[in-house]
Amino acid sequence: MFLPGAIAMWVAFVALVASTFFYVRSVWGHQEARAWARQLYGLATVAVFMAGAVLVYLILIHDFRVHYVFSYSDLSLSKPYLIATLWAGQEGSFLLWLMWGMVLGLPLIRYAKHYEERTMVVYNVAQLSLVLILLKQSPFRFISDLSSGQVPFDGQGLNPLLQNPWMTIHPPIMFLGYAATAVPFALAVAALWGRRYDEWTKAALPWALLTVVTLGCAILLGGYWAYVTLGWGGYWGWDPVENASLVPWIASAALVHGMILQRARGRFRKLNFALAVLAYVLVVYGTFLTRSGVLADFSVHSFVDLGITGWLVANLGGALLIGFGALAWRWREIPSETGDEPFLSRTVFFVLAIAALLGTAAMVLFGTSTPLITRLATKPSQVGPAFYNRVILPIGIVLAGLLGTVPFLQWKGAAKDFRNRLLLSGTLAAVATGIGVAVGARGVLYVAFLLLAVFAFFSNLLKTWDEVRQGKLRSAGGYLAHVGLGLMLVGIVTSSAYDRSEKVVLPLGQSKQVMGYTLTFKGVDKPTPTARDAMLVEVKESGGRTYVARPHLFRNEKSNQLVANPDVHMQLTHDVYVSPIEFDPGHPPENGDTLDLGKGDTGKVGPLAVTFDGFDMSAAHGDNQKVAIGARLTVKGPAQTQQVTPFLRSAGGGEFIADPVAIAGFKDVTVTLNGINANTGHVRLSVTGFGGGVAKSAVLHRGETLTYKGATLTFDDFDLSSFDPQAGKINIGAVLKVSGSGKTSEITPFFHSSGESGDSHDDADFPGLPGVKVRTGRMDPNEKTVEIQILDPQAPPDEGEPMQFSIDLTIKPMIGLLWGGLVVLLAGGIMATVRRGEEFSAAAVGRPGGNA
Amino acid sequence: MNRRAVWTVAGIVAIVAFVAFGAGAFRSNLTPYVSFQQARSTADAVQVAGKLVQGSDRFDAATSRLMFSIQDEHGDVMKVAYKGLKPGNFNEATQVVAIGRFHGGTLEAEKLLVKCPSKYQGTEEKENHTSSS
Repeated sequence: MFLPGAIAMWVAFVALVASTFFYVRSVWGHQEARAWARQLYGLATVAVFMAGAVLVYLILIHDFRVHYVFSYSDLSLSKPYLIATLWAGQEGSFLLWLMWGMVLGLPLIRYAKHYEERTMVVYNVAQLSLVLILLKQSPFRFISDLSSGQVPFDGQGLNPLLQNPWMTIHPPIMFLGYAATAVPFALAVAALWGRRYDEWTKAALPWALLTVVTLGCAILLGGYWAYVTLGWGGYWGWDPVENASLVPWIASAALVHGMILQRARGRFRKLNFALAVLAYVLVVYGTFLTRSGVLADFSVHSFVDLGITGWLVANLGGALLIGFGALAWRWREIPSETGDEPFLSRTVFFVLAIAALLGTAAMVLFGTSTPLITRLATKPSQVGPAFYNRVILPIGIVLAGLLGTVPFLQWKGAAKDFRNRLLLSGTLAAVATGIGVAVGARGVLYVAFLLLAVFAFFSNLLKTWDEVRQGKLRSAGGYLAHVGLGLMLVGIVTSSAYDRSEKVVLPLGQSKQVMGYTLTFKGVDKPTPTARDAMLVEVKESGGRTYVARPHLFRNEKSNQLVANPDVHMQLTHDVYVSPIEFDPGHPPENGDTLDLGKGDTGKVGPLAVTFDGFDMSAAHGDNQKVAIGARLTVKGPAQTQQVTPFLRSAGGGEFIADPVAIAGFKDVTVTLNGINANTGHVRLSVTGFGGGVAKSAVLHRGETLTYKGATLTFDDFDLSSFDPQAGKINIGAVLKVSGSGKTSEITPFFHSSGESGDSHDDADFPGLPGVKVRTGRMDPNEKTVEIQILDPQAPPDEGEPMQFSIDLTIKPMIGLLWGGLVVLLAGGIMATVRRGEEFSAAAVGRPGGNA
Repeated sequence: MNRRAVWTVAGIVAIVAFVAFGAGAFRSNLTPYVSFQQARSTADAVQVAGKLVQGSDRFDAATSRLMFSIQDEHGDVMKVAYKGLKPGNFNEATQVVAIGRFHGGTLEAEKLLVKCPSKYQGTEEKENHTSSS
């Protein structure tokens, strides 16, 4: 255990417990205890940040004694990723969550005014639940089999898929959102405890908005990350980890609307208490689902049991007990009235919206928990994305309809200009949807959804405009956020329902037409040795514009993992998404042979015996950089013997050029010196031009057959009669029975390898087919197979296979609306948060002398 | 009182209808974990898990499918055809889970889960399924 870090955590633990104790005393009337409680909270905050700083320090100095540092970082990571390692693993992410929580508590103390003592008791308990997990599974523990002198010199590194700039942005925002849900929870419980059932919403609203903004931002950033990096073309997979963040977000959105409703109409108190508790409980439940291992077999995030399941269940139980317990305790006391608003009123629509949001959350929650639920009843199962998409669509339609109508409703009834505004907005929406249908939108439900989403967009836009025109910029936040939401809904429908996708195989240089685009694979681009391989694909649109897409497909050296990144070409009306599937490097034409010979060795190529006599160093000491080395060869053919000396010369700049030498008596046959191994004194020669190469080949087990031109070869067995690895003699033959046209015979091609003298093949003649040879290729002693190759000079030479790149081309219409809408949503959300924050600060929330 | 009654009834009807709709969608999309034998004998969507047979994976350009075979602990081998993209850590996986329907000798997988040697993977990992709409 790394002591400084562990000590910091323990200090934080003790200080938080003490702070809670003093806050409780302060609730019971001991005013002076409050100062102590605050200071202890401050101390705890400092201690938590010290622990965080220590962990970051350990990561930066690469202290691989520490289990966390070893597991998630390595020497090759750059600084930003090293810092991101802080939240890459389980313990670190809890620490980050805790850090945010402590930070949020500081303004909360000042801000909660009258509610402070009770709120902080609950809030501290929430932080303590995280501290306890961190004490149980400390990020500072050393690796378990550490003995002195056994410190690993490098770590396991960060998962390559996480080595991405988004890794430095998405998790911190996500955990801020999680941490923020504890504030309305604490305020709600405090309100119940202290029996002040009304003002707490004013206090909690800005915090709930903060949750909605940060969680929403984090969720969609995660989607954007997946979209541009992972290559499967989507941004949302309904995976348990995704859903675990989505459900509390929906609950928080419902809470925000519920609190606004309560402030406007003075009712729905119980609903809001329940929602505030629910949002936090759902965060805890989501944490349980994703980190306890119960979904290990059902999620691509592959969680295994991390050792803290018991604690997570305890946390969940605690949150439920405290939250709903407090609510049950005060249930009968909470004032409750009924209202009399007409149907067409903001009040009613808000209730409907909250119901619809909760319905969505319930469905997603249920679907995500399916493995857990079915495990108890029958076989563990899960539901796929199709379930969620089917369920979400009708709710989405309802919500979009509500979104579009509500701006012109007031709390007690429709506004005066309701009909006009609605007509205007509806007409604009109908026109836009009509255009959409004209360009190809289909499907009744989808078109209905589109219509209502565009309607929502226009309604809220008009309302925003109205507000701005009246000078009420600050209160336009909510409407602006809904404008963004409308855009996002349109973008989601168009890009999911109307996308088109096709797979295509692109051989090098060949253009292919797909969905109106002309694609050409231009090759592999690797500008520097450490750059990731980029596949160059030229994309030409039907309008004539061209660009070069550069999707990546490379192997991460550390983990040997094949990683693919798509190329996303974002345009105004659609995205062109090129995703790598597979790369086939092909092979160069094979119509010859390669010989590896030491001095005095002979290799056979077809009818020629090539002997390497020695080097020709006459031109080896040329001027400047130009040297040439030759290999003196004796080439013995069936009719004549000749001496040839192919040269390998340097052309300056580290490049070498091999000059082929012709062989007399054989048209087109050349010998080329490809390489020299100075250490072993070997040369590598290639003899080409025989035409005909491998006409057919197959990998055979004993007893299996290969047929060629009417004759059947059966692989009988290996011939190991002169196989003596101890003596350095590797001669392996393959005994083949050949039967054809009534005759049977036996042939045994051999493979010779004797270390220094290189490899050679002793080919057997194919009975009945003059000129055709049978050769042994690759042999596998484990599987007891041999590759039998038929070399036929009349067979067309192997042209080789070109490089091929297979891709998936997808066109995603209007997806830009999703990201653009997100920006607008965030802007509106931030405006609303600021406004509500100021409202509460300005409000007079009395602090009575004693307890309340 | 009348309005309240109307609201209550409408609310209950809406909730019941929604739950029924959800339950229907739920049941038709449920994919239980089954053995290879069971997968072969049913037309429903199921989930099977197995160890990847090394070297069995190839991309069939004709059908645009990733083809491979998995083997369960009894030695039973099943062929899988997947229409999505090959997951990044496919060849290093300790286990592969395929979700889909068995048809004509092969499991047509809609979704693949690739299990690697255990490691908490943080908040983002590879998604390995075709986007459905």
